This record gives sequence, structure tokens and C-alpha cells, in this order.
Amino acid sequence: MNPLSVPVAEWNRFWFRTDFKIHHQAIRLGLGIAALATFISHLLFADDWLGNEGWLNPTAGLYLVGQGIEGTGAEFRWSLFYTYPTLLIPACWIGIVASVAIGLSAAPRVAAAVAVAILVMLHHRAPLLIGRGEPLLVPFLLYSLMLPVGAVLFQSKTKSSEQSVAPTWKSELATVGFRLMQVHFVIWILFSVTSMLGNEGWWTGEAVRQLLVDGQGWLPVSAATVTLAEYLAHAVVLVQLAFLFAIMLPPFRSVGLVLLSLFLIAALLVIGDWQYVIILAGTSIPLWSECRSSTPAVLPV
Amino acid sequence: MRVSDSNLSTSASIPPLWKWILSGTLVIHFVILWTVYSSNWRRSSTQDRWLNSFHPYLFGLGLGSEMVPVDWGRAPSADLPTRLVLQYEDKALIYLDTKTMTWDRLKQRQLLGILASTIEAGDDESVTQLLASVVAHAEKVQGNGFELVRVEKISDPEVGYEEIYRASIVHEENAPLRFVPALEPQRTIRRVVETGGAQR
Repeated sequence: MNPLSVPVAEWNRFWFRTDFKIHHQAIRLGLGIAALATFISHLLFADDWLGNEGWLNPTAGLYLVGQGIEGTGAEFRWSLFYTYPTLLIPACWIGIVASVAIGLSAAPRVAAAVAVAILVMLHHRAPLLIGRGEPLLVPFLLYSLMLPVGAVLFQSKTKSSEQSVAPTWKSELATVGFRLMQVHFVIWILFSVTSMLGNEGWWTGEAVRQLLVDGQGWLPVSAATVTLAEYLAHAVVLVQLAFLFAIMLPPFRSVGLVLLSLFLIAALLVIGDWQYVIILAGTSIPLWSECRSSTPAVLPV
Repeated sequence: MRVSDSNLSTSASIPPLWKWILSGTLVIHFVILWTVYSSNWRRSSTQDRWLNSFHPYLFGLGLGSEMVPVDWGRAPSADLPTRLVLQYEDKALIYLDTKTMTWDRLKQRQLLGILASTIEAGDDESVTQLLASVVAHAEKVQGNGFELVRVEKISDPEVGYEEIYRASIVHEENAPLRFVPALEPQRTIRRVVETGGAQR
């Protein structure tokens, strides 16, 4: 027997299985809300920050991305907003409409493609000014292109027709998209916790204390005591590590949801970044989507 | 003749060769993703080569940022309180402040982080480009010209704000703003007099 046959079979079972149901509408609802929050945030600052006479005007923006300097990849950073900054606001509104469409699963693939195009152009316009979590949202919108379609408003009708005629390859491709989201999210949390551990301030609590002193979060500045900062810093790191363990072990998946909720609450208390919290909550939905399969799911992510 | 459902299903599944290709693509995708994430703050030359080779792919994924914002703060040095002060006549205006509580505070922190990093790196051209943009915006919003720009940072809380950059602003007709630095990029001096005047 080929020693690789078992791992290959398990790999295929993980990425291409067709015997479970993907709650694509719930996933798209989460992504739609996350995209909506992102576009609203861009709408609020776009003109004042990236307009012709904004804080970071197109000339300064081009310079900072390294235009004309080899090795910076600036030649690939195409964005309509360098040439036509007046399109920023209309583009954000189009993004908002697309986000609503994604959330309602109405023409979700077209809407996701439109949202990705606009978000990527915004990112290319000012890559160092993007919000936390935005680099997570764009790939998720792309992954969602592989999910099945079916509008929320016409759920029962489309569900039955789709199930009866959908060829297997569509289900397999949907599983690939679904798994991409799950694995990517876990990698993001791993990235988050390792970034924190790479910063001495998270070991001493000073990173959190500084953030509390700045008063960016929902906690009052008076709460910026060394003791509370130390507790919070270690708790945030531990919660992320525990989340990673919980998510890998199916029986503890629900504990993972609690841990992620704690992490998001801590984020609001310390940094008050509602956009990041909404993006993380929205993109985490694939982790909690139920698997109704004839055989038990073998792999957790 | 009736074809069984199982036969239909098998014939319509992804062919094995395509599954291999797809699997290889998935592995490469996650390796690139890991390269981006792991090189967020420090990177090896190999990581650099990888990232340069996959620029178009990464940019398409919205991962074209040098520093993917995932940590709650930025780099330790970039997290230090910083502010940009503009002066005209005898008034000083704190125009950008990492301690601001306005809705765009994250952007202000990011912009000041970039500005402080470029000042500390001695990258004069980037500093000029950034300041020209910020000052032009400030002059449009405030409706008057500014004479002096200062960037101050708290490196030691016991000392307070220290100037890391000071420059006179030169306005010339039909020409971009010019900045004449009064401090060497690496030199810092302790502020003696607190900034007065209008605050934003």
C-alpha cells in the first residue's frame, strides 16, 4: 500500500469533500457586514485624507509607495484614485451597495468582485493607512466567489433547485472556498498572537498600558494601571492561544466561540477599533457554520 | 437508459489532475501568506525575494502592505506619543496627534508613525513629501499660511515631548512648499516652553 495514500485521501477529504452543507448565506451575511463597516469607514475619511488636497495627497501617496523605485512593486499598485481622486466618494458608495448585496446574497459573486476591486484600489492608494483587519477581508471576499449562490430572500426556492442539479465539482469548489476561509482565519489569529509575542511590551504589559493611557479604547484612562495592564496583556495572549487549541479540537469548538468573543471584547476595551471587531466577527462565521454530514467531520478547520 | 446518481456525481467532480493542481496552488497560497505574515516586522533576504516575486499576486489579495496591521499597537517605537505642530505668527496648532480622540484617530496614529519613522531614518525626501501634503491640507482647512512645522515625540515619559524635527515653511509662487530643517534628523532637543495657542 502506498504510504501516501492515507494522507492524500485525508487531504482530499478535507479540501474537496461534498457530504456537508455550507451555510453560505450566513457566511455572506458576515462578510457583507464586515465589508459594509469597512466602506463606511473609508467613506468617512476618503476625501479628507486621500483627496486632491487631503492629508496624503496623490503626489505624496505615489512617492510613499515607491513609485519609480525598483523592488517596491509600485508598478503593480494600480489605483484609479491616484488619477481621479474625485471618484473616491462615489466608489465608496458603490462599495456600500455591493456590501449590502453580498449580505443579502443578491448577485453575491458580482457584488464581491466589485467590492474587492474597490477595496484593493483603496489599499493601493494608501497601503500604510489601511485599517486593522482589512487585509483579511479582501481574500475572504475572493474566497466567497467559490461558495454556492442563492439569495436569502428566496432561500427555500433556490436551495431545492440548486441541490437537485448542482454537479459535484461545484460542491467541491465550495468546500475549497469554505476551507480557505477557515484556515486563513486561524492563520490570522496565529499571526496576531505571534506579532504580540514578538513585542516585549506584551510580555511586560507595557503595550496594553500605553494603549490604555492613550485612551483609544472603551476603558477610561484612569484604568491604565500597571496591574490591570499586565492582566489584560496576558489574558489577550492566552485567549488567542486557547482559541487556536479550541478551534483545532471539534468538541471544544463552542469554547472557541466564547474565546473569540472575549478577544473581541478586549479589543473594544483596549483599542476601541469597532471596524476591526466587526471584520473579525464577520470573517469568523465559517468556523461556526454547522456541518450536517452523513459521516462526522474529521478535521477541525 | 437511466444513469445512476452516483455515476452522474463522479463524472461531474473535479478531475484528479485538477485536484493535484488545485492542491499545489493551495499550498503555494498559504506559503506566500505565511511569508507575508511572518515578515511583518523583520524579514530575511529570502522572504524579501519571495515577496518581490509575488507582488502582483499579493497586491491582488490586498496584501500589498509593508506592515500588515494586526497587532493592536504598531512597532514599539512607532507607538510612542507623537504630534505635529504648525505655527503661524505667535500661535501654535497641534494639527496631528496620536492622542487625539477624533473618529480618524487610527489614521492620525498611522500617519504620524510613518512621519516619525521617516524622520528618524533620515529620509528627507519622504519627510518633505509627507509634510508638503499635510501642511497644504492644513492651510486649506485653516485658511492661512503656516511658518513653522514641528514634530514632537515622547520617548521618555518623564521628559515629555521632545522635538525630533523642526523646519521653516517656505511659500513660493507656483512652486511646491519647501521646508528648511532647523534640526539634524537624528538630533533631539528638549522642549522648554509648552505649546500654547489653539488646539485641535
